[in-house]
Amino acid sequence: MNMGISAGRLRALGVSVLPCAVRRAAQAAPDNGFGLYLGGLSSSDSSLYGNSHGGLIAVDTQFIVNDHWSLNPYLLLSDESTDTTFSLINGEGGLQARYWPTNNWFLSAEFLFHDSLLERGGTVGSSVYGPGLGIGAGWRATAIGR
Amino acid sequence: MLTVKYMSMPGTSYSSLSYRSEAMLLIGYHWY
Repeated sequence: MNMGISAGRLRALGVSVLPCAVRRAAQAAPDNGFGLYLGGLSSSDSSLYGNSHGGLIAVDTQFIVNDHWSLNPYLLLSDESTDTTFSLINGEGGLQARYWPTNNWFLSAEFLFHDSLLERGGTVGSSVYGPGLGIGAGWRATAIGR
Repeated sequence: MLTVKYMSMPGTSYSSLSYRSEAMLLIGYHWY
C-alpha cells in the first residue's frame, strides 16, 4: 500500500474539503486503508460529572469484507471540559462494522472499551473505564483526480 | 461521520455505577 499523500489517493470521510469532487464519489468503491479524524463531542454522565464537551482525534484502519461491509478498528482520544471542576481525558478503542448501501455513505455499529481520566489542576483524580456500544453514519467523498 | 455511543463506567473509585452517553462529529481523510 502506498501511503503517499496525493490528490489521486486522498479521500475525505465525513465532510470533504474538496466539495466540488462530490459528483465523482460514486465512481470509486471503499477500499482497505487508514483514516485520520478530528472532531468534537458532547457527553452526559449519570453521576460523576454531568455534561461535557470537547475535541477529539481518532485513527482507524479499514478492512473491506465485501461490496457492502467493512470492519474498522479504531482508537480515539478526547479532551473535555465538564460541569464540575474536573476536566476529562477519554480514550476509546473499538471495532466498528460499516454497512455501505452505496459507495459513498455508510451506517455503522460498534463495540468499544474506554478509559476516562478525571483531572483537576494537572492531577488525575480517578480513572473510570468500561465497555460501550455505538451507532453511526458517515459520508465519503472522493478527491479530484480520483 | 456522526456517532452516538453509550458506555458503562465501572471500576471507578466512586461507589456508584455510572453511565456515559456521547455524540460526536468527525471529519477526516482516508488513505487507500
